[in-house]
Amino acid sequence: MKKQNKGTSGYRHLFVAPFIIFMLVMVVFPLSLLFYHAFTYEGSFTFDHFRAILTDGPSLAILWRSLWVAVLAAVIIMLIAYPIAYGLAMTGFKRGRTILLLFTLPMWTNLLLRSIALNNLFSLIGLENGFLALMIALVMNFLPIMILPLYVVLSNIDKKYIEASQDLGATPGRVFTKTVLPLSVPGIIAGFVLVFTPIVSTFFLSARFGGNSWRMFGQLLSDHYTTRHFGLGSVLSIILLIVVALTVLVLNRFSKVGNKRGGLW
Amino acid sequence: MARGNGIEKIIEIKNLVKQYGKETAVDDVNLNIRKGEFVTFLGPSGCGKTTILRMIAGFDTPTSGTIMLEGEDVTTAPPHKRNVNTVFQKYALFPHLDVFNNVAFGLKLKMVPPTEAELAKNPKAKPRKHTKEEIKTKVSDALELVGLTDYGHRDVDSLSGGQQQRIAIARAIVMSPKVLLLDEPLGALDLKMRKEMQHELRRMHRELGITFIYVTHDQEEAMTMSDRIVVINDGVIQQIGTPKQIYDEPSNAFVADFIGESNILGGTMIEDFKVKFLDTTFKCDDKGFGKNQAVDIVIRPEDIILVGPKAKTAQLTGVVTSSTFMGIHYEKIVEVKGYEFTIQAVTESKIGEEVGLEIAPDAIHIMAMEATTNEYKTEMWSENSVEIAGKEFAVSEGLGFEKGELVIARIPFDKVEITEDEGDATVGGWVTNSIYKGTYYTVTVWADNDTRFIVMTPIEHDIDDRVGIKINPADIALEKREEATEE
Repeated sequence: MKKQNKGTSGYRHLFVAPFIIFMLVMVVFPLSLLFYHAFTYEGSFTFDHFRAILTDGPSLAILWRSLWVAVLAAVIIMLIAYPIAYGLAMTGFKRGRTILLLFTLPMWTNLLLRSIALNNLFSLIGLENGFLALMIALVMNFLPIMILPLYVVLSNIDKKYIEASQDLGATPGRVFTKTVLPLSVPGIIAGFVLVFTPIVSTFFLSARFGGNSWRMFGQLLSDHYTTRHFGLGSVLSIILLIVVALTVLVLNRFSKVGNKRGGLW
Repeated sequence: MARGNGIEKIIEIKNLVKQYGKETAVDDVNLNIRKGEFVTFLGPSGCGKTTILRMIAGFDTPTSGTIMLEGEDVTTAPPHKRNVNTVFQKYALFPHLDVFNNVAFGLKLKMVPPTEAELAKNPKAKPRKHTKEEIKTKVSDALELVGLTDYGHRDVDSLSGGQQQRIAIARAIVMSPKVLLLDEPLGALDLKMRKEMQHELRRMHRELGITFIYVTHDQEEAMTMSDRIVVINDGVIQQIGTPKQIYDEPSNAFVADFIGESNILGGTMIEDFKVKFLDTTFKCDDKGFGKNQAVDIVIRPEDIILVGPKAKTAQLTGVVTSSTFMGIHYEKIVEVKGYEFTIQAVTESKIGEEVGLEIAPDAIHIMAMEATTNEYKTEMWSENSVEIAGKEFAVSEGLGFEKGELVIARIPFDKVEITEDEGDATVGGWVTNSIYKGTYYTVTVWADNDTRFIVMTPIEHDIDDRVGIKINPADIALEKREEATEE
């Protein structure tokens, strides 16, 4: 028996190999490249790229703008997605799954096609590129991504918690704020991360709908790479990585607190 | 407030019916519950006991009928407006809150009406929220009552099943409800824990003086805990009584079979105080039945006295086929004319030994059989067939009915045939109940569209067996009926 165990565990290493190769090629190698470019200039070690970015007012302004636009967009998407997910998951709505499918249907269309269509629609109604057009485009694109995790969490909330809440004197409003909302915090966090991360680094949508005065971090980053400023581009990428990592970390903390103490709210 | 004989009714249930689509889960239940009582709803799973509880709590709305709480009609009131609280089957403790906040959940929502002293000072005094100190005191009192004083800050997931159960009880009683509803609260606990909690619940009931309504399928639990037991089967109340009444005088074969060990036999009432079963006439204490009326007879195992086979007092003789030592007594199986009596006695007997049975008149409990025929309000499938359980059953030809005509179909219990192979039968179904009555079994079969067949058969069928139902065309009696006015 023991021998056989040894044999299979030997094979197990083999099964992991493709994954390890994938991670090396797709994650470790690009990351090393990023750090190499960020900290070197013509082959020698330097902090100059960091200094250049962190002392450049316009770059920092764009970083700041990307952050608050992403937060605002995520919050707006949340405010729209939550009632939809709630209605589909909690109200015994018979066609819930079909409607959910309809909401997620646009995701199956190519981003480029969707954007061109939206562009034409905007010019038809005379909406010029700028903040409003950008927001509408962001909300439209990322709404389905927010609805899905919320729907999953809400539809998995055991009805017994809702009954227990009613039983202890909670009005329908209180059942929501004291039971359903706290229990759906994991879905809110997941949805927020899923939406915030791509928006903060978006460059295609902001280029297409933002116009010149609403340039975003992703565009800045892409500009540096297309003009072959690999050092500056890499620094921006690292900053973006840190921002996203911090967001996820902070939100996960909230998720735990929210789970235990009724938290967040 | 409703008062009768000086005893206050806290809950009055009248003509309560709950239907889910075509299926009737609760059928015309009438019940009064007195203040401070420990009442148990007892019945097999799916009998409707939990549905009644949920309607009292307000989670389900009755199809018809009324529920009164302290003289006030609460039939359609939402749960948060009823002064009753529930201990849920699987606790339903909030996972996002710690123990303290679980118990404090209801208190934080509840408003305190102004006391008379406050009203005297300020006639416009309004209900107020509990203060933090009040909540703390009440929660710690409740935790003390359930024996978990220092657990306030613990996560609910870190507690054992028994502890979670106690927190669920604390969370409900901290609200000082008029009635505490307990939905199989001990079902998920192991035997030892369950025994302990049974005592605990009795103690809490005594100390708090709150009315308890307890739902269980465990007859022993019901017997040891309750002031009164309501036995329910197929959505219908079978009997209401103290544990002793229900054990000693079961009102029908179902109750007798469900509560404790019993010998159930089919027999005939010859005249008042005389009953015949196993080809032998016995004296009994019952009267008021029709002459030669078919009845069910219950004899508890401890009420049969074993004597020598030649003894003068021996009314029946039989052979011991098994004898098992149970701690305080021997449980024996004695075969008499093909019927296996279960008998408890303090003396040992050898297997194969011949014994005499003496049954005193007061040991024989006689129950009228409620019905002897299956009755279905239905319509003709064609000229020569009738619809029962959604299937076509052939009837005798030339009865002169038309297709679609409304009829009542009657089939005697002993004319329904059960087949092991569903393919040979008209409709398939599940055996939900089977009671041995000496020379035959009374078997309940629920067909697939929720139609019930009661069958008297000499062949044994196990509960949860899949069987087929077949009826000889000549055995279906039809009677024309008018358009149904009810529903």
